[in-house]
Amino acid sequence: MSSATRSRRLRAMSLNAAAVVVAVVTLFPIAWMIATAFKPSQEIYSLTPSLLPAHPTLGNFRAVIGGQASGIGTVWLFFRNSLAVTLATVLVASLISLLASVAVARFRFRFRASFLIMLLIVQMIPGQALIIALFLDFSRINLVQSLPGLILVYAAQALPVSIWMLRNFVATVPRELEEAAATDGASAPTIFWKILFPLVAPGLVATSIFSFITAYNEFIVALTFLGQQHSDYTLPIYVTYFFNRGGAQWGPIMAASTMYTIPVVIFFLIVRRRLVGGLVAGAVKG
Amino acid sequence: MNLSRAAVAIGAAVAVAGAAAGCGSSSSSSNASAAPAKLVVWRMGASVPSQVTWMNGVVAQFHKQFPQFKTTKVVVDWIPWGNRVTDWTNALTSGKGGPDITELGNTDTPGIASQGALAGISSQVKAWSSGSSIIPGNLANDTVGGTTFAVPWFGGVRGVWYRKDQFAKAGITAPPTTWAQLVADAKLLMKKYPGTFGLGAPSDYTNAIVSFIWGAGGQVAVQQGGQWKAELNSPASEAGIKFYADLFLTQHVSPSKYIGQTELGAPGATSGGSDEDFAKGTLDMYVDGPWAKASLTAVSTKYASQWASFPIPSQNGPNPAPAFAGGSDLGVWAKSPNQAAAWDLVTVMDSPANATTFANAQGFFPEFTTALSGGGYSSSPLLSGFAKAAGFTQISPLNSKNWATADATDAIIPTMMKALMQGAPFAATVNKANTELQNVLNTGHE
Amino acid sequence: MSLAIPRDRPAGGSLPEPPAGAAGSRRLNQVRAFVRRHRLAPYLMLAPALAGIGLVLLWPLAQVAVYSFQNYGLPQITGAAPTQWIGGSNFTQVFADAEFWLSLRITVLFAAVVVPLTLIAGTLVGLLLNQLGRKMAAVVSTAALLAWAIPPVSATVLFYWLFDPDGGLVDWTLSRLPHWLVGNTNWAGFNWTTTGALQAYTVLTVLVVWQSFPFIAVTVLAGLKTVPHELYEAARVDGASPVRIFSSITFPLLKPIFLVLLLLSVIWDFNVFTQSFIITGFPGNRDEFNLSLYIYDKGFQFPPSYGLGGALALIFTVILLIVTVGYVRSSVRQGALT
Repeated sequence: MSSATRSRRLRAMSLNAAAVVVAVVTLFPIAWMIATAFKPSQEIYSLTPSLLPAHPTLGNFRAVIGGQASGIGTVWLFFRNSLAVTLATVLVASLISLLASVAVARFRFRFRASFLIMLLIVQMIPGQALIIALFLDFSRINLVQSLPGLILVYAAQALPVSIWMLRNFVATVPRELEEAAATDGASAPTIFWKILFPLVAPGLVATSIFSFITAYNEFIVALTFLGQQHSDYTLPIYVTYFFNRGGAQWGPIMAASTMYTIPVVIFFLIVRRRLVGGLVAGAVKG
Repeated sequence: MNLSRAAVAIGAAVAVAGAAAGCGSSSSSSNASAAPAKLVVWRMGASVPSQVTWMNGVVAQFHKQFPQFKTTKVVVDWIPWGNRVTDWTNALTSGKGGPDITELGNTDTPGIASQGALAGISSQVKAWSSGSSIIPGNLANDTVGGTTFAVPWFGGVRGVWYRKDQFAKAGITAPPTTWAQLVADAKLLMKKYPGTFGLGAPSDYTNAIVSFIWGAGGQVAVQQGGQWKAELNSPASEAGIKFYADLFLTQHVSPSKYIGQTELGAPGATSGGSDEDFAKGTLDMYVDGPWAKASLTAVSTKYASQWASFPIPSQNGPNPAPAFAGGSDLGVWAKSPNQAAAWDLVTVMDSPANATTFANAQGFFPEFTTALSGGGYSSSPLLSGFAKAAGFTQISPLNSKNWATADATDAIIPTMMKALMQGAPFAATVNKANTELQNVLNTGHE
Repeated sequence: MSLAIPRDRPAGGSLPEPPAGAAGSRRLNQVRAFVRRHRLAPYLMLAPALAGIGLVLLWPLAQVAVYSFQNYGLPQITGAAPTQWIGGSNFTQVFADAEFWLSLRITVLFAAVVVPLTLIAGTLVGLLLNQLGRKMAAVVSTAALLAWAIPPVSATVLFYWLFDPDGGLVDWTLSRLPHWLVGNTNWAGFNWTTTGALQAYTVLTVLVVWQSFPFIAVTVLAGLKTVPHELYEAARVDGASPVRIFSSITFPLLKPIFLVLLLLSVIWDFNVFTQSFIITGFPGNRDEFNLSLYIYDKGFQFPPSYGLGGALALIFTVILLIVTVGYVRSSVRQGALT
């Protein structure tokens, strides 16, 4: 073996070793979470912890599904709440942002530029600064301690990014297509649904994913609005409440946390390639 | 004929007027014109059948005593203790969903009242026939800036549990009323019953330790112009602190195992504490409230028939040391549209008779000096001591806004007492705790 | 009717060629009539979005600004006491408050530590990914992005568990390592979350870097892929070291991306709320509050002080906007370049 080949092999090996280290560092905590979810409590507090449970058990998951571990209900209740809120948010946000982005991309009107700048700036206002006034406002109109209030806030919060993303998509749909359809005698709604919509659909998918994930993970507004209204808790608040209760039931807590994480992970693995591309495109373009 | 009919008419009128005056004993604010459809009462904790029964009886009385409110429905909502502040705040910020009457932990009252949640009821209390016999210490707690915002409902104080048979055998004819007597009696009991300890002094027991501070004439903290000044290091307070620590350190009437413990044992534990030892007979005197009966009987009923109580003695007697009276108050919600009717209901819920039956069922006491000194409790050896103690209460500064931080979160007094019992230098430890306490009370952090 | 409203007149400006024939010009006239009659269309289509953004993002900001100049609290809401304009009193109170300066210091120091760590770790991993074979790179980038993808609440509770004094893996490991490596502290049962800010924010640093570096890595990787191979070849032929290659070729070419990532990271790390809320066990140890938590404390711990909370929120927003202006400007400048 020549020294050049050896050094290339060495280089490849060290690179791969480094790669493995990176993969382990990122995956180990997640594995630990899942492992703990399957461990009986003796193993969780054992003086000789190991990654793989010696006697894996479904007990923690059962406790979480049965609701006795958290004391406020079965985990499915909170899945239902999160699902209801995220789906409704996606629907409302998609509809409103589609309308707005078509207006911005297709029409020329006086405040168009200022509207776009406003969209940029508004994305930078921190939620923690607004939460006090937001809570007081929604409290006054009786929309706290219930899910509809959350949906309204999440949908509105998703608008700036969604409109910004969608308008690019709308703008790239060639106007000639629409004009050709118009000359062929198509009506406005037909043009909208048959021509514009299918071409903008990928953009809608992207913004829907964005609104879904943001709503699914959202914490401060749900925490503040829902307060002690246990039956309306979304998953992140449920996990936090569960964890806060003390009594350190780490097995069930990790089980609940794992269940909360699974949809996101599955989803991520499916859209992995597209996601990476989109992320990068967004960041590189600024 | 005319004369007798007139006499009947006048008599009837007088009777009606008399009856009206009788039921208007609360105040002139009974508004006969508008009877509210319902009154909402917020109770703290969880619903218990005995309390539901009690409340039904009260509502029946209310309808009878105030016939103008006969059609008014009384609805009771149960608020878990942990949720109460959030629920009150939400009712205030939304302006809706608030009650007409709310129960409050008496340590909550000054804070809630200063946020404008409760209606001022000074004149109503003054006009109330039972108002004058409210225990002064508890009424003072409910008065902020000269206005009364709530009335005490029931409270519990700690005293000293002891056994009649042990006192008799040791030749102690009357319970001690000074510190010197207390220690002497403890030593006597230990001599008569070798293998026991005389008086349990857990270090994590703020609510008992304060009685010794107050019993020496000291204060934990005083308010001066809106600012708290901690006084743990005043000579009087230090005397109380030293006395309590010395129960273990020099007098040896309390065992070392109670260091770091609450009266129930190690924090979070369910056994191994002074309550268990008293029930089993290895501890001769035990500081706690009448509500401890349930947990004591659960451990052992061997000596239950001999259990009795006396108030925690002050340094030099003859009155007991002031005891912290934890308990509940009743307040009228400031935003309630039915304040007059609400107050009337409060007077029924908190009539000395009703308050007594209610409190007794839970091992607490009503907050009227008349009820405490009346014959009701004096016949029971167990309750008479506590009843006497319940007449001498102090609440401040345990009702201050930041007390929970100082005691529950930062455990300033328990930490100090534990260090002292483990031999830390006295003055330095007390001074450190004092500075810390003052900072936390004033700013919410150290 | 057509949505194909001609709006941006191309240079030389006229409508596109009218379609041939009488039918075509009639259609065009209809289109023009549509435009004239429906001038309000864009405004109508924007109205729901404007309403939503106004109600949830803009109006509360204005209110917070107003509260910061008033003595607003529960008594004012219930009417037990009047709402009064108190000028800058809230601000002077905030600036005189030691807790404010502590929380600000914690916020700034945290960002100052986490941002470079994240950028360096992300860049190194990005460089690594660039050198790896296709399959390996896919596996590693997926694994890394998994850390980025899992919800913040999950990640935070997980790390809380890892650093738990009672059964947590970190304390167990540290207590078994030799003292010359990890110092003499009694690591078994060491409490990371309530002891003090340094310990708690160490956990937060590990957590936030762990969750953030993958995004940096993937972005840097994408940027690296745009660098022409020839540049690297030429440099290698000239015998340049890897460090030299990075500093002379890679870094200058990727500077716009690094700038964007830097600004995004600073904004995110200033904004951290969820993770610090859970790790410090809010309200927990007050010495561990960062600015976000301090605002929340003023607004939602009893008794609330909406005036002070508003002042703090305003200060926080101004600080963040100053940073953001940098981002917006660089973003616009980049838009002009690309």
